Amino acid sequence: MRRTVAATTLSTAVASASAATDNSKLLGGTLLDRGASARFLTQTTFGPTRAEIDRVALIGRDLWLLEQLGKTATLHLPRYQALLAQSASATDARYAAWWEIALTAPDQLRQRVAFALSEIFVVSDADTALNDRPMQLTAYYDLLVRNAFGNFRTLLEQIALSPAMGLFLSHLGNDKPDPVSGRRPDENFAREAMQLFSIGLWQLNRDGSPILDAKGEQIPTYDLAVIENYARIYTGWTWAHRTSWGRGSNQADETEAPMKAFPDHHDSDSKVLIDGSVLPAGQTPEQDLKAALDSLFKHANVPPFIARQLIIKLITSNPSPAFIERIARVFENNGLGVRGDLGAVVTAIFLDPEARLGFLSDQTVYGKLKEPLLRLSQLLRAFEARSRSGVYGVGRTQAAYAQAPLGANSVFNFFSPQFQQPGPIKNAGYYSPEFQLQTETQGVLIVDNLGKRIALTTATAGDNDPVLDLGSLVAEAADSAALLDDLNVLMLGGSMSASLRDIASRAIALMPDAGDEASRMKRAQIAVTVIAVSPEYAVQR
Amino acid sequence: MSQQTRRDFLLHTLPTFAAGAGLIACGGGAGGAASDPTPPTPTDPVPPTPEGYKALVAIFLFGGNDAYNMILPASGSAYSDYAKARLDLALPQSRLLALGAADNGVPFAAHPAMSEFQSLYARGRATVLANVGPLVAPIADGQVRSASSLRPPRLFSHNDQSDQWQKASAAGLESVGWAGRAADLLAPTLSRQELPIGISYSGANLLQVGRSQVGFALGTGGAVEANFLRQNPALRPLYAEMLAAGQEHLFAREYASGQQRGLSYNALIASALAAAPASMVSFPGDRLGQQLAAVAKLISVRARLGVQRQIFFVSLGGFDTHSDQLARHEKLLRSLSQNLDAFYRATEALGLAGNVTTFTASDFGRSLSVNGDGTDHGWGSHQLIVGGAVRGGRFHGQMPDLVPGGSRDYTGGRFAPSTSVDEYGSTLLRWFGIPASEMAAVFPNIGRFGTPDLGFLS
Repeated sequence: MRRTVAATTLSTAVASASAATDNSKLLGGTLLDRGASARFLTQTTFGPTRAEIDRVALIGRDLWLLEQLGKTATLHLPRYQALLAQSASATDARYAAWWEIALTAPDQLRQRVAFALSEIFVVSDADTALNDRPMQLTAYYDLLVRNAFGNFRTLLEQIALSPAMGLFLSHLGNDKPDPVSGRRPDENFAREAMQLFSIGLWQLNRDGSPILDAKGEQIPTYDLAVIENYARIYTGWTWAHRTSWGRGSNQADETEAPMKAFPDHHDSDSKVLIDGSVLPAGQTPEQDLKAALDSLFKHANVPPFIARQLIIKLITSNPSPAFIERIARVFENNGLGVRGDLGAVVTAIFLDPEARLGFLSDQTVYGKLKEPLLRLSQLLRAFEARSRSGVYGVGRTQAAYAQAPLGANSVFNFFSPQFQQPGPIKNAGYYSPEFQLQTETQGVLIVDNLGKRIALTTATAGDNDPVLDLGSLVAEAADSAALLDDLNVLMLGGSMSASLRDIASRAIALMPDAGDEASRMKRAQIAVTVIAVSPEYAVQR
Repeated sequence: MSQQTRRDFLLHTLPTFAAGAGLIACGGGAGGAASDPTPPTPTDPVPPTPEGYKALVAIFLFGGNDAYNMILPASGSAYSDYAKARLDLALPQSRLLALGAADNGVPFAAHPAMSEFQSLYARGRATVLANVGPLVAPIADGQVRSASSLRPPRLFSHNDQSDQWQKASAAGLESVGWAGRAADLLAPTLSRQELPIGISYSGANLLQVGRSQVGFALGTGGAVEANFLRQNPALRPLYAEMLAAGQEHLFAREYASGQQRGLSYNALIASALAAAPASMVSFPGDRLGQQLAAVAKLISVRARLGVQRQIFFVSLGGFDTHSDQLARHEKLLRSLSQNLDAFYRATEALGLAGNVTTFTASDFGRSLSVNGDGTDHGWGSHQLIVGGAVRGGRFHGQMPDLVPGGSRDYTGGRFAPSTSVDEYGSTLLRWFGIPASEMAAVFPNIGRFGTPDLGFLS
């Protein structure tokens, strides 16, 4: 079933893409050049590797995607548990599991999409309720991994009932109102589940543009009364291991099991849903929750809202309305009448003509600033970084990269989808979300850290520090042209400018080839550094 | 970074401000104070007269600070009303730290964790501005629930309301921040100032973004540099050349110019900080303490940097207390109080207590009504202002009656502000040196409000 749906989407996408251009070599198909394969893998994985570039070039994007859709999900919780013994803390074990899987798991497409989902459906260890609960965070991440190609409605329900989300947005332990004292239900999850996880603030056309009223103004999707009704719906849920109502928990008793309902603490009066329909009084917590999530899922905003969110995380910060609309249509119907099929949605995104060819038709704005963590993961994957111990101890990346997996400052993620970098980008009306966390000083810290990781050798590294394997470059490092040809594909998808190439050549020449391994290793190191700190490497096209 | 390379970066990248123009006249700015019935009686020595340097320090309390548990009625029926509405979140009366009477005659107190703030207030160095927030226009008591056209859009939404605070543009007239707009006006007059007026120790923010001026974010650990350049000095000119090379892609171009600024400003600051005197004040070791210690340190080298006007942005996060509020909020307010005190003492030690004004802002206030062990998103809230120029030891603004359904209750104890962010900002900027005649250029909506100078600074 899954393969059938994906295959349908694939052939539709390839057909429409082929119709858009004569150059089918650039599209799905086979016989891709290695640069184009690398570019595709920059979008679809945590970074191209030589082996994966060869595979995409050999079998083509369609088959590679099909292969990836069918791969077994690599789950984080088992690796987290296994790494506890080798880690300084449970939080370090969570990071080590995440990095091991990001850098080495075969189901790269699923992992990359799960990371994008983790920046839409945000929970964070910056929150005091979660910073000492890495197990819950890891279990939550697995929920995203499992559902990355599943149905959006299922994802929404699992998120709503996850203890990590219940702690983060405080609907775990949310009690029914008390009219005598005036106590109200907690509105946190009710609000953010609408604003950030499903429909957004404004009514949208299918292409993501706002619907305007007769006065030309945007129309809100909900008001405070709607939030108050949904806050009452999300009452009566708490820890699965609790035998009585309450919010407290002994961590030793906690599992990743979904939250459990206590009907006595659920507001059983009638409620009004966002579409105006009325939930009758006396429903169970489960019945109310199902109806609430159904009402959000079927809202016309969800397809364009989620389409844009995924496109800007994966492909480009400024997708055309037509691109958003094509993906919204796939969200509405995967070709077999199913709404919310995320496997079909992401396949359609990656094979869309704009994802494939946008960089040719628009060479000045198409694409995005890479997230700091992805600049690092792409470097570590390109050179198959490994540590002596086998632990991927990339560690705490907050200071150097302003990012860590499930580590945003708030439910609003590390950066806002609406952020516009002041100056020429904002003045021209473009969005540039990833600029928000890459301030000028952060930019220096990032290249500083990338440079340090490139300079790390097996002699200078700690047991758990991943060290880049530059050995494969030594053979060609005598010839700077050959070296740069290779790195151009591996690190830049074949897009290196003449200017960068010239500067990199002169940088390599600072270390003359002495015919020995040491000088060639140094030349390779300089070349990798110069490219990794370049403005071209910082941008995904 | 070598002098040669640093000069290259500076030459290529630093903005050149118009030289020769005089500093905008500053000082004055105490208009609106004539009606003040209770002048403070400070026990500290009067701060030194301005030396031509002034700084504003914004402490943004991210998440929406529950002002009603920060500053609350100390006794009597006002306390009873508060306690009745606040249920389990009500702070015990016996633990409150008395401040003084608000405009409505009700005695108010501070949260028990804020003894340092209480002391600053008692010494006349701190004040409370009551019930301030985004407003399109003044809303009279009777209009709060009916005047939908006067309500700012997207009330109670975190990102929208914190944007409105930073833009001071509930009416939607502005897309940039009010401190940035002030910097646009001031920058051409600051001939010796190489650094941007806006300095953030809390990342990118809208407050410091102007039309031409943009704030610069620094790290709290001191100036940064790139190790690969330090290790390979020969790479420096090549990297400078790479960043200066024209980039085809707009984002790569902007990234490159950001890297140039990042390297040049950090180099500038590194050389200035090398001469920084040792701090005579120790700060709390928490995130806010690190940020404010960094601010104090940068101010200490103002002469080396040639800076005359600075607006700093720091933050404390975690105020979105939907749950577990009592424990979380106490920890946050303790940090805030201790840090306000440490920073004030640091400015005193620099002889600049009267030249530096620190003020708080937040996404929104919170609901007076309670959801169990937390509160939800509100609208108006109280803010704190600290400094030697503050007309402290008294309340400013109008305190709402903390009664559900009261005259300023929009719904569920979400009180409509009686003072606008525009008035709050214009009072700060009047002191900072923006002439009254230019204020409408910074706050285009200020004409709709009665008090462009609230009189809390002298």
